[in-house]
Amino acid sequence: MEDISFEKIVDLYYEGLYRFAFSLSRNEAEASDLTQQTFLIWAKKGKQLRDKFKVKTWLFTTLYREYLGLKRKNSRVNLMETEAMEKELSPVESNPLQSMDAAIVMEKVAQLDEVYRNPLVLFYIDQHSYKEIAEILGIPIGTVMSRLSRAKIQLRDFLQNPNDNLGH
Amino acid sequence: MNREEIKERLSIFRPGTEDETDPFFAEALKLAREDSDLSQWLDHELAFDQAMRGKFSQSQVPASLKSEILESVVEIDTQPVKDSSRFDLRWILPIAALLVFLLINKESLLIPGDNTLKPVKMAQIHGSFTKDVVHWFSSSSTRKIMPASSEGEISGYFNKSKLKEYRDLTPAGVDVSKVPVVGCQVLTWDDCKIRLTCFRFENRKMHYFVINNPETCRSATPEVEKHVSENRTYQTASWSDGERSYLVLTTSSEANILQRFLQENLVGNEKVINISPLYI
Repeated sequence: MEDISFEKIVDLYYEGLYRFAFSLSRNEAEASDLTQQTFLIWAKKGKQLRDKFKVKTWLFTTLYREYLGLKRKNSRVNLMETEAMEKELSPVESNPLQSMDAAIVMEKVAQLDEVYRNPLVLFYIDQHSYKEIAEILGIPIGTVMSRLSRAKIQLRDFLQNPNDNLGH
Repeated sequence: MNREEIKERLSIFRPGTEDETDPFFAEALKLAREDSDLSQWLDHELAFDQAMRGKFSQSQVPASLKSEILESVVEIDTQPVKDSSRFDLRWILPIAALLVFLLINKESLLIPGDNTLKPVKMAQIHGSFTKDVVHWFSSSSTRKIMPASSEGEISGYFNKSKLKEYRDLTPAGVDVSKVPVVGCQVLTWDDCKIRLTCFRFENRKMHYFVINNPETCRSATPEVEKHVSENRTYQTASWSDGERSYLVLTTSSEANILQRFLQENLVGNEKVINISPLYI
């Protein structure tokens, strides 16, 4: 890959990064800050990246680490990364998504457990490979795959049963 | 490979990517294509993924974000850069003084000190936990509780995290093990595992935390005074049985409900503290 300009890199990835940041923080201002911060770090350190094919993974990994750092500062209470209780794969009756507004679907995505939400968002935006998702989140590929599968089950539940969330 | 395994694998299959040649999917794909039901299921699944990708790409990105990114980087580029190739002579004296100090004191610095942990004010730790939990509930994120309706489900869930479940009598004799459960979750607080069981008490949803026991959370020993805390949104009651610490939180604004968990110990000597509005 030839060296591409900073502006071109921003152009290629800023939307995907913002969407990932928003799914993490659920806050527009924080997502914008995280995206901006990621590109600032790229501007300072990006030249050190030897494998230019990994720009995308580098950016998403950096954003995720920035987010984790921010989260550590903000709160000490976290959900334990435990697997959810097993559920049967439900058959797909129809596609409820077609008629749903994107913002509503994003709200449903936001209700997913973080351990499932993060790989799922990366799965849907910018076509990340399983290996890339594993690198970004720092988890094994097998875990990525099983979490993706469960994430889709949970998402379907939320799309079909909007009052399922006991969080509050 | 049975049907559920095929479905599980193919639920994350993406056509037109390297998945097409990935052996992980090859057999499941072949089997699915030979079975009309599975084939139909796969078509629906792929349509769902396609629709999800569409929804993600439709979700809004702030219009000014790109220009803000480019502008912020231009600002960095135009900032004067220090010439790091020249050694700053002002540092020579302080560094030399530090080296001399270290040489002179090396004996005393190498003598091992008292490595035992200093006693920590447990009430302070406990108060800090309470505030963090209230903050956690107040924030819009990560409050998902796993639904559960039976003892078995809750024990099974905690077992996965290698935790036992503890639901005992409160100081006022409320038997928490008898109240109907609705969910549970495992949290971490300062790297300690915390059990959270969600139950209903007089038709009000309560969140019951087992804060520590010696095997999971040594930093917060249970020597803490019983107390009730409240702000406009939440009430908490906390106590210890001498081994473990407990905290119950409810979103109710009705005063005193949680005092009934601790009543005996609060008569004539109530310790009601207010949680800072910062956490509301």
